[in-house]
Amino acid sequence: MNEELRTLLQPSLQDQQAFDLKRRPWPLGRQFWVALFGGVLALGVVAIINAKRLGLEAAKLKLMVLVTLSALVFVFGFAVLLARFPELAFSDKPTQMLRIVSRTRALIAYVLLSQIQKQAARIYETLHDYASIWRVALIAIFALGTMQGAFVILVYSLAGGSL
Amino acid sequence: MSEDALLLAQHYIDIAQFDKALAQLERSATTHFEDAEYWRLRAHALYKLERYEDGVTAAHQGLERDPNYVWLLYTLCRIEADRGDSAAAERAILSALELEPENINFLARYGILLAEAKHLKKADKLIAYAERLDADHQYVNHARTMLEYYKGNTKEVMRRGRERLAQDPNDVAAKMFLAAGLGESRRFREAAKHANSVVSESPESKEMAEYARELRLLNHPLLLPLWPLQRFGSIAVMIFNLVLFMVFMAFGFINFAMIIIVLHFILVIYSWTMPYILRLYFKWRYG
Repeated sequence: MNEELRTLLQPSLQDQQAFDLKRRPWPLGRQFWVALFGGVLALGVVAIINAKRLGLEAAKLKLMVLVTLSALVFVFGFAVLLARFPELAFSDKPTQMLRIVSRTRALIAYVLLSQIQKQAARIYETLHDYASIWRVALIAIFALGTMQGAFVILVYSLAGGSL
Repeated sequence: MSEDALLLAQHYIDIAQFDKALAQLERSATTHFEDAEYWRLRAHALYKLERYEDGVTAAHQGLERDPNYVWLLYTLCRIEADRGDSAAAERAILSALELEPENINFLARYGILLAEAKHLKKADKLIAYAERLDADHQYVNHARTMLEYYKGNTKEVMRRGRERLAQDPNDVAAKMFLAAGLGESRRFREAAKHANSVVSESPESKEMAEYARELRLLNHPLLLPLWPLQRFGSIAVMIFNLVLFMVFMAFGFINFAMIIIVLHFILVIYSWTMPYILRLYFKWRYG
């Protein structure tokens, strides 16, 4: 056996976890609805859990955490900005503007997060079926979406914005 | 006579009659209990019947009798891979490669295993090594095409599929790759043509049968209104409609803007409900 082949035949998969049917990932496309109705926090949590189930490496998981955190910082930052400069709102209801910006930012985060997961998802779906996302999505949208909304309103109010 | 029993079991496996192969093996169990080949055939038949746990047990039984039976190790690798245990699959294939380091089938199989475990760079190097040994080997070609598919090189997958089909119009793997590539490119009608051809030649391939059914569904006339979603994806259509909405609003065409929203809403509801209804109908009609 030559040196090149000897190197290639070194084991690489011995630390891989065996596939667990109870922890199947969810389809990437469905995460779009979590982003649209739940916002950044709901999307981030669902996407990161999904990425772990897809077996993404630590570096990519950290990147996903970074994308989620930066999107959250943007949303909170915009809330502060809107409180200081209410003329930025295109209507007399600044909370509507906050909601639109928050959802738009979540959709942008979705595009980035789904790109990170895309290759792993492509490999996964040739081998196994996805799990249904609906229960998790509803919990994420209601629980985390409401939590994010409440925090955004709180930050807006503390920054001097009027509701 | 006793060898005929194993040959008959192999024949049943070759024509995808795995239940019959198993029955044949059970009839000859007492004669061939210590024969590693018996256990390989048994493991293979169980694997094809998706009885993975039993398949692994059978493979280990065979390896107790002949630990150096490379094709049994290869079969064990395939079962463990499909069962989702990449580590066990790797141990099996590396054991086979230790005994036959330049076996093309084993190298290609290990390449596919690495690709499935998302070790794409190493898979690339390994398959490239196998290609240097025999670039025209069918299984090496298969492994390279699978790797390109996993990397997302749909054009390369389709090019390879077409190339192989030009050499051999009956190449089932080439048709499967073409069907997958065309489906990815949202050319569902063409994809369906190749998928249906695969299903008619290899009816035991459940995944392909399901894929062909899905493509038939996507080509149904009742789903014609969903063509923009199928062709460009739901996100692109949503962004397009959002931009249209904002443009109409900016120019004061409130009614047009509302029409866009209503139409998009109807399209979304239709895309959720009609495929589901059609799937129920297909299930009721065709089983």
